[in-house]
Amino acid sequence: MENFYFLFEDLENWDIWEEVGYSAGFIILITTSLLINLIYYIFLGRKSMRYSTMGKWFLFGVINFMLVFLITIAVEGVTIFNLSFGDFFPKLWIFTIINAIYGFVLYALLSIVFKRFSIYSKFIPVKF
Amino acid sequence: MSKPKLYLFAIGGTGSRVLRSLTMLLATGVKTNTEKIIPMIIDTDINNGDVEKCRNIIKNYNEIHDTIYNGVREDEGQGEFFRTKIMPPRELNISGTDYGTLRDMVSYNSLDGKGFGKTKSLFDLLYSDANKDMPLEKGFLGNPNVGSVVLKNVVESQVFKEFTQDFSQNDRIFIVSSIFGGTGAAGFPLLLNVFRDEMSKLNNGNFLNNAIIGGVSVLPYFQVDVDKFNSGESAINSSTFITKTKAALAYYNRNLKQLVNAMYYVGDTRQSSYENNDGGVEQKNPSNFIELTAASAVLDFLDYEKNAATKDDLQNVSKFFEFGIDLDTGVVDLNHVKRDSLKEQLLHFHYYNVYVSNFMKDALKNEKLAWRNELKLSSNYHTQNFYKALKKFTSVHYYRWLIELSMDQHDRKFLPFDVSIMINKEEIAKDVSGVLPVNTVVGAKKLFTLVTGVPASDTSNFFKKDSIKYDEELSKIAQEVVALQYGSTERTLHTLLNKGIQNIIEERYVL
Repeated sequence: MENFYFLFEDLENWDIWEEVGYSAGFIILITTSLLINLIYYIFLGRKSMRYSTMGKWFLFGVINFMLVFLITIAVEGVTIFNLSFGDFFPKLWIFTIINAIYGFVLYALLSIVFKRFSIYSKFIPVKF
Repeated sequence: MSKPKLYLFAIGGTGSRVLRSLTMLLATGVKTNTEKIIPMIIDTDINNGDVEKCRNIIKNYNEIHDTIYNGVREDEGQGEFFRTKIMPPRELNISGTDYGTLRDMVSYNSLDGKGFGKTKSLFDLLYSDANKDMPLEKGFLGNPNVGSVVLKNVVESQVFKEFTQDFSQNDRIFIVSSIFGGTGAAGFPLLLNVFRDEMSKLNNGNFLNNAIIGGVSVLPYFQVDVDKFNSGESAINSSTFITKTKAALAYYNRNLKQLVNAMYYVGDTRQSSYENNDGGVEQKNPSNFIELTAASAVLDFLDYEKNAATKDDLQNVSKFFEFGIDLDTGVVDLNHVKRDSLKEQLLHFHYYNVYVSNFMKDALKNEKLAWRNELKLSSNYHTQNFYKALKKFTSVHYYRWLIELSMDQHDRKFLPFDVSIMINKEEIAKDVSGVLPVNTVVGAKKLFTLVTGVPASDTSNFFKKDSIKYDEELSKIAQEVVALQYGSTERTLHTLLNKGIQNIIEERYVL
């Protein structure tokens, strides 16, 4: 899993990162991106044309980015590294930002798969 | 039995205007029991503005019809916009300019020399000097006695001969004419007598003798400025319309009632006021509700005893119909239209036109729009001929027709839809050329109040604003329509528009 997060190199708490940290981040990344794609393409994209613009698609990508960021920092910080509110753990922040960026990229990639199940957003973000 | 062809004789200015309204009704997609309609225009005034308008609208109609339905089976797509085929008008126009005056035409001055002295005397008895010297280039100007002589030449024309050659056994004939003018009043009895003449040597004379023939006679429905007649600027005197009508009706009753199988009479006591132009390019009277009712008589005739192929198959040799409305109101709207199918088609067609004029171009330019991509329309589709033809029909012909029907000069207006969306009405009223497009502005809210007196259902509340979403509806059904595999982009697009608009109307209106 550390290969997937190659942008992130940790020197501290290596065992924890290796055992739970990476996997938890990855699960958050996958689940949130799937959920947002599901909402955008299946729930909204089959119900109304209101969200079928590039602007709205980008907005949902940003929402995904933010959700991945918030959930990752909360879950990793509280559950995995047992940090208390106010503690500053720079490595976790870097990991979270990278996970959120991956979130946006994954959202875009999953869009290619999910768009075919939509009615109104079938040609967003690309026409093919 | 295949559907009959309908040969529609449109005589004089009224005939052309009725044909124009009929084209509009056919564009709405009303179902017709005919293979095709073949208009035959008879007018000696070849420069008549009404005829020119009629030619243009049919040309535009055909551009659309032919693109969509070329190669499509007759029973497919019934009820869709522009479904019925109207052939380009065949014009039996004997140019009055070629004849000069009635005196010239019959070589009056040489009758004595040729030994026709008695004929000359009879001629003098029947025709005044004013009749004899009246220039024929602008029609018969309310003188059917002149028309009955001149129009005889129509039957000798090449176009008429071609018509008789093409005429088949179960084809029908319908004649549109006014009873109070010159050309129509003269042409109607003349044609009937020619068709029913058992001794006639016309091609397919037997088919013509036995054909089911209908006619609509338009009784007076407008008056013209009498001052122009009094000052000699125009030869039309509308104060004689009623007298002429009475005389003509008495003649019809005595001589024609056994010749025509279905006769429709339309007229109005509430009359429109027109400028007094005795023909020529200047004669472009606005469309009138009475012409629309006359056009609906054509549709009624097509449904009249559908299974009868000849007059011998009819239950009644002759039947007479009149058109009426329940309420004598100055403004007729969709609520006054009795025929439900027509009401629905007009409503569908109006929403279709509003989409074409105000929303379709943006949709065609939207590269992410689902329906546009499902149909694989090219990125420049909005610049292509088919879209241009649709847009032209909407903005140059349809909206203009609506504006004309609702003009103040009509004492009875037809105002089915809100014309306030048309923002250059004054310019249109002044535009004699008839080519100026009508500009429209339609906001999201306006889409709910397009129909006079019948608002569309609106589910807006404090939390939610309802809107009529054309593109959403079209996108919803696009895949299903593409799956029909018509093999033609235009046919697919047209079907999509028809079905989409139908769904919107079903959701929003209870008629």
